Amino acid sequence: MTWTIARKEIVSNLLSYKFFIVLLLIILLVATSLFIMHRDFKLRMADYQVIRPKPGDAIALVAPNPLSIFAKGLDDAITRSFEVSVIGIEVRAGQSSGNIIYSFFPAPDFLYVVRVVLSLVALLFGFDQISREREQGTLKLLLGSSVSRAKVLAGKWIGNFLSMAVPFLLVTLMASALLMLDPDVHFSGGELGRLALIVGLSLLYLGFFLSLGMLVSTLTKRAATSVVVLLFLWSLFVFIIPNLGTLIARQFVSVPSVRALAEKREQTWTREVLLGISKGGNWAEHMRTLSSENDRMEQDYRLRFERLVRLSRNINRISPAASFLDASSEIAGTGIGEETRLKREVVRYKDSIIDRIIDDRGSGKRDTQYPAFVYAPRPLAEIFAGGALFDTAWLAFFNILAFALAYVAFIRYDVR
Amino acid sequence: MFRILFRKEIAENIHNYRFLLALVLCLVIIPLGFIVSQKDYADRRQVYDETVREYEQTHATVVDLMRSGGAAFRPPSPLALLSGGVEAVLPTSVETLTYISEEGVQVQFNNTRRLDNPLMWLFGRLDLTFIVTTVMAVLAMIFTFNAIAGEKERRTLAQVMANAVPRPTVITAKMAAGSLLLAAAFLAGTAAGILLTVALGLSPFAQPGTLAPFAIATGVSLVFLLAFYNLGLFVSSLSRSPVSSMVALLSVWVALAMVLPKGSVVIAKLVRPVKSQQIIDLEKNQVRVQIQREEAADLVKLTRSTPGIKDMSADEFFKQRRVKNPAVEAFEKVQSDLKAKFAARLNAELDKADAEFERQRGRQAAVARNLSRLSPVSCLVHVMAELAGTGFAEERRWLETRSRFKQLLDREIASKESSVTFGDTTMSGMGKIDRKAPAPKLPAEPVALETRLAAVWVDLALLGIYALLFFTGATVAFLRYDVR
Repeated sequence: MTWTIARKEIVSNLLSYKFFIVLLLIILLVATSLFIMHRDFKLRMADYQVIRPKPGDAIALVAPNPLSIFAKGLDDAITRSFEVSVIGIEVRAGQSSGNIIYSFFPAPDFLYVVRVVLSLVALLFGFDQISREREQGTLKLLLGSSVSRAKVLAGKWIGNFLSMAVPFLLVTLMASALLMLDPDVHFSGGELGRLALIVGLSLLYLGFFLSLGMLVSTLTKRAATSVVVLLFLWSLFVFIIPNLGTLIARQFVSVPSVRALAEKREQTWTREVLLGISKGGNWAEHMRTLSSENDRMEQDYRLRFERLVRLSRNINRISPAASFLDASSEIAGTGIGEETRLKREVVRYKDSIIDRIIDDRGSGKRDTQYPAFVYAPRPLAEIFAGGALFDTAWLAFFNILAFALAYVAFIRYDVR
Repeated sequence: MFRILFRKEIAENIHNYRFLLALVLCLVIIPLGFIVSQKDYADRRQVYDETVREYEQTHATVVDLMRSGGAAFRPPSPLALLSGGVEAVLPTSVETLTYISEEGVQVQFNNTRRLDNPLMWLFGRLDLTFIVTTVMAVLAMIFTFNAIAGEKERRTLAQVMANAVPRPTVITAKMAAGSLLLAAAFLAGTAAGILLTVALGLSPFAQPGTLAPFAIATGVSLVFLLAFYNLGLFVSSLSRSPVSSMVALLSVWVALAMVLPKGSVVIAKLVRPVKSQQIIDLEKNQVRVQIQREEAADLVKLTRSTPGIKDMSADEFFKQRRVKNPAVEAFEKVQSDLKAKFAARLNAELDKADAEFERQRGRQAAVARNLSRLSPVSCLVHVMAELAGTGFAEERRWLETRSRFKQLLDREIASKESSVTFGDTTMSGMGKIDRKAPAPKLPAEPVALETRLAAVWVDLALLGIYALLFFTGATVAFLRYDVR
């Protein structure tokens, strides 16, 4: 019976005007998003080819991540170049897409489309499932037969989820396949697997909003009221909580700004130079002191920064939108975890060559070949252990919770 | 009759919780956005003040600038709560690139705030522009999606139309009542936000000249909301059922808020491609290296071809210089002229490259901006960014500041400095510059509100036109609407 109801929902959706508009919307959004982000990626790749370090340069620079087409995250920060000099690591601009006008609007990547727009679409599928049928009087007819309320609800959920998920999957698959025709965009097997995981998480996320829509629909008597309540919840989950989490976390953890850190580094530099001039001594020793002090400051900054990020993320997890964004960007390799690890690797790289750099500069050598910086993105196991698994489970929990609450509310629902 | 319909619409919107929801949402999200933005501003302001104070202590005299370079700092915008605009990618300072020499000063932009808060990068900014274009626009859709189609479905529209009431009066009453309630919720949220920030000591009006732009921005937001409200009425008048109206409205919102603004940028990139900043920097560096190489070769040629100088050793040359040998002095004069010629050529070449790059970028941005004006969201985004001081006018000001800063240091220090080169040895610090003189400072020249408004008058006018156009569309569609 569940499948019969699901089929009825699918047929009813297929025949509706709503379905075709939603289909067009998904095609338009996914295609536009991938087209725009693909162009952005190609520009950044062209920049990378120009600024990539020559063999022997003491520069750490990673190429733009092809998965940033789907999840831009912090890829702009990750792809900055880190130059190692006698005073430590200097961060330079990385690959950017040029004109300042591009910064007016947020990057419309796949994650943005799913998180903001398709979540609304999922609500549209769920908001009138119960209240409208009650308004039209068809719910009484349906429950008049010997079908259980659980089956009705499950059938409706499956039917609507498939109506939304199948076009979404088809459009995403087709757009991704078109993307792969471009020889400049190369996805490895692992990256394709990660992409599949992101799409899976997107479905889980959209499933939650469908369940939420059905829950509110069972709690309200009219579809119009249901829309109003759902919009409130959507704003709460997608915009309010993620910003509130960061705001609250900043009350508990103070982190100095990047500028303040740079100022401190400059003060240390001046002090060591003045000491070198006034007291003489070994120049290389002064540089080593400088480098180790910079390391200490950087480490202190990173520790506080990581504490702030951890706390913010934990608070933000009240919202499934935050869990979805965190897990997806980490899986894509453009999340905060990846950025933190890259910074650590850069520090390790610096530690491995700083003595040679100081000695070479001290002796006036300018043509030394330093080993290249090699960076391997975090493996999936590490990403999942670092929080993505929790976020995935948390999203699943949200799904089950919303559906269970919808079931409880539907059992108590007055169909008259 | 208008009054009755107006009162009916007000009562209906209050009765079905829409107004209550809008009010609660505005009372939560607008103050939250203001506090988050103002906290961010307070942090950045503190860093700016400390940086400037420290800079002024350590760069008090000309010799300090010559020793460690100079900088001019850009204060963060106190109205970034209206719109973050492009502030994240605007420079935080303009700084000298190398030591100041008689060859002229090289300056560059610096941006130190790019990753202060990665979560803001991930989730986006919660400024007023974002709230209005996303949350308030969706609220306007919620208010209007069943304004006509819903009444038709409930069969109340036929009853209303059975009275001797003109259709334009019905639609005008709906527009007036709904937009008034939406505006009331928005203004209540904005007032609560201001009160809360003042109570927390984060008032955006603590800086002078912020009240007028804030008031204008609030007014412009109301015009935008009216435009979106009218768009909702228009779509509802074209739809037969509330659900199809909602779906169509959502699609229109997505097209106006996401597809058009970003799509116009992509089209501009295709129509008017521009090299990236990195490539321009590399090209400029190549020019610099080439000219410096030519200069070094010419200096060597000059030394080898000057009688009385060509046979001297470096030690002898500098010894003769100290005793003011006329041949050495004449050589120094010719060398100084040669260096000045190369410095002028280098500056001209670099300026030419910068000007060409800016011209191309400007043309590309103009194409993108004009195309994006098809969307009222884009118009609002640009108006709010200019009012907040985080838009194109601020970027242009900083491009001018970079030039002014360079000219100031060139005039006050570089042009008074000189060096002498002989073979591989260059002796700097030969100029007659007062090293103990106070360091030259660049006076701040903020962009006047009139200039900022002049930059966006088209967008302001378009917002009004969109509001009128959508209302006209809604009226015409409603005149033809089958109420049965």
